[in-house]
Amino acid sequence: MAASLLAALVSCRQEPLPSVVDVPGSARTKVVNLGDEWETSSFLVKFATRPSDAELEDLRFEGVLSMEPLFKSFPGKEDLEREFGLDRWFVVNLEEGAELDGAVSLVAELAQVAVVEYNVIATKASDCKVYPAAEPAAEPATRASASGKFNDPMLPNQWHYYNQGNKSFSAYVARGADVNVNDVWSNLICGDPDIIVAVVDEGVKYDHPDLAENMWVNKGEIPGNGVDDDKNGYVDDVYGYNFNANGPISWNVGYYDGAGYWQGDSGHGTHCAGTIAAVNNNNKGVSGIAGGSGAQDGCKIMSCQIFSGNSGGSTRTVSNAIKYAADMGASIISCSFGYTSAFASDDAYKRAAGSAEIDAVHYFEATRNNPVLDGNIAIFAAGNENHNYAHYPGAFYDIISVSAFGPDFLPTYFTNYGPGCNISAPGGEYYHGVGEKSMVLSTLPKELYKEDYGYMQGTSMACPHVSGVVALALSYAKQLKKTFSRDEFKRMILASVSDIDQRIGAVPSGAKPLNGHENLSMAPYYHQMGTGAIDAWRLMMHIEGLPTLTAQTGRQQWIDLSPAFGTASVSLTYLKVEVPSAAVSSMGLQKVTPPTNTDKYPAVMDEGGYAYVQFGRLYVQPTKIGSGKITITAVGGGDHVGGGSNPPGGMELTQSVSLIAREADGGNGTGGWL
Amino acid sequence: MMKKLLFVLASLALLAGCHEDNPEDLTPAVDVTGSWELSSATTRVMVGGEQVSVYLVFSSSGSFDIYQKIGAGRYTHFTGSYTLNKEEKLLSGTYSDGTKWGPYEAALQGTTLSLNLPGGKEVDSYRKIDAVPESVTGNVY
Repeated sequence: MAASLLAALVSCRQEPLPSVVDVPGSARTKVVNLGDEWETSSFLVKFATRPSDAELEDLRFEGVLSMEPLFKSFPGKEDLEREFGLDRWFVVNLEEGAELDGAVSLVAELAQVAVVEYNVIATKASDCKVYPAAEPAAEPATRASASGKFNDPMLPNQWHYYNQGNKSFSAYVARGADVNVNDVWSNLICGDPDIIVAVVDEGVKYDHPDLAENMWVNKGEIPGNGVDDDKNGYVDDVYGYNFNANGPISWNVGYYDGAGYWQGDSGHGTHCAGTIAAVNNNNKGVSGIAGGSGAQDGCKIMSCQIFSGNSGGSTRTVSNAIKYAADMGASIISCSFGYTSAFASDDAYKRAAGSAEIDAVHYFEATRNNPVLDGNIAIFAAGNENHNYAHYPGAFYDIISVSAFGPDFLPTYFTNYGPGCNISAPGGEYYHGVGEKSMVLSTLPKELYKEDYGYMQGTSMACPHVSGVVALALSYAKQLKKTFSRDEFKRMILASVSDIDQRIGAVPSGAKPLNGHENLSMAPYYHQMGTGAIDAWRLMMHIEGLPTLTAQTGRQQWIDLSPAFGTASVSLTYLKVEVPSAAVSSMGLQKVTPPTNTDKYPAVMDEGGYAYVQFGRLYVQPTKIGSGKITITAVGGGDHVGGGSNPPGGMELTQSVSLIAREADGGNGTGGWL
Repeated sequence: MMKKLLFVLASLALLAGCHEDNPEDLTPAVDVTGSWELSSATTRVMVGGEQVSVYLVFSSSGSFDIYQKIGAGRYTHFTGSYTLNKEEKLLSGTYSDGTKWGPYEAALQGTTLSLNLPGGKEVDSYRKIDAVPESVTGNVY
């Protein structure tokens, strides 16, 4: 075996295989995750069953430098690691000069090999253009900011949290183009230190004056002693770990090129971290969505560094970073990166048998790190190439992927949209005439920009907005002692939105007005920005409980479904309506008159004909006082569900609503009791 | 003389009326002003596990507040104006967005106010309370 492999490798070196598509026969289906750029000195292998040491030794053919487990096993998690096949992944490191494609082709032909994966390089979902911002003089510590609850002096410039329509952000600014978090801060919750968000990105500047207090600290590790005190396989991982350089976290690695331009870290991770949980109400800089109230009650940031300087995060790096987040207690991973290649389906991405990254994400989501959920939540950026599909891994059908809008509440010129994009959030957008103020303001490493704060734009910036809101939501659910399944919670996130499509459809010229993007037609984005714009207040209300809908007896009528699916309910694609016989009996439901205009506006009818959904409305005809539960299924992000061999698509959202039929008309749609 | 007699007869009739045991007149005039809590409703029985909580506040100036929670979540606060036809004891109103409600047949027995749709089967009763609890007014959407 070893001899034949060596021969093949040598011949491959002489005539390199041009790409993975030349892998012969059935072995081709084992090769996954071909990106635009990948490491040439190693690749990843997943075995059908975990090989013994002897079997591994037998596979160490010439040309292979070493073969080692991809993931570090974590004490107590062995069963879960096995469940998701993490114990079967190995890294194959090649000797210098060995030809990668040939090795991949040969290994893929081995019967005991289930998957071979290129070690693809991820890209940051931001153009990494930064506009530093000087911190204004702090206000007196006792005075709250004019624009919100906190006294952080730069909060009034963070339109993305609370947008009151100030035209300095855009001549076409839209009040409410934000995450609607202000009332949540004032009335409900500002964070919880037990909720940890892992920023899988560049290193986070953990001693930043506006982040330090909210950094997660590994209490089992003694800083800087060069010892793996907690024996988790990582030395001195106090605030997280640098998986790229296999060492301490960094945020200012790079060099100036011949033209005097900086090549290296951009502050991307530190910026994302500030959006999630910059320390609030500390009379300093900016606010963070889940940054607490100033009473050391913010959510925590864990830095899982996958980019360093000019070095991109490979599949190996990313997979390990995600597993670390799961093992060390994170409830959310905020992943502002992706792969720019298009894939025809989830199966095409992982070729049915899995990919190391998706296995790691699913392992993360199956890990329980908080008292609210039976799992964790992964959130990805959709990508910045203005493609009409989301980038993987976020495009994977059951992973949340975030598109970006600007302060005009319109899609940004760069955002990816369409299939695989599940929800939207503020990502910022440089506008001519306004400049950087319309971008997202957050924390930065001073070493790079001489300022602690600055503006960036991208779906990279939209992603941490959703991560921050979800962190707040977990904090609030914990406070209320509520529990949910992970999938139930994801559905609530996607249903907690404000409508963005009305704004898109109402653009007078059909193109993005003003601001230097006048030629960008808005039509392609209509119904393509996921379920809508994330709305923190709505999510908190969903956690408190869904309101019950009321109907009047004696007439056919429609009932607005926005309490269940958000104000984007009118734009969603509905798949199914289920009316159980108990509800039919209790309310004396009559068969409804079916709609006639179903060609242009598809309607979904209950099998028994007792209800249908169209335009985000539920049509029923109760004849007597009663109640019942009706279940409605929609698609969150696209017009079809993704997964398997389907083209990239959205996530299935199933909501049960309680319906009460009364004689009173409930204000004829007002919803009032009388 | 005739005029005088008529006056006397009328006075007698009036006096007699004041002392007559007419069952209709035993019902006190309906005064809905004040705060009320939904204490029983046909729907409440029907919906079983669903929690229906409704508070009504009718002010003497003709405005109303409704705090309602149907199912889980917070209270929804509605406002508007109302009128009470005291002769027919019909209560109707207009939400602040202009939507009409009612009329309901209003009946008061002790501290219980019943509001029923004429000819309907739904019976909703409200108990008089001093004020809507702060746990309600401070817990609205």
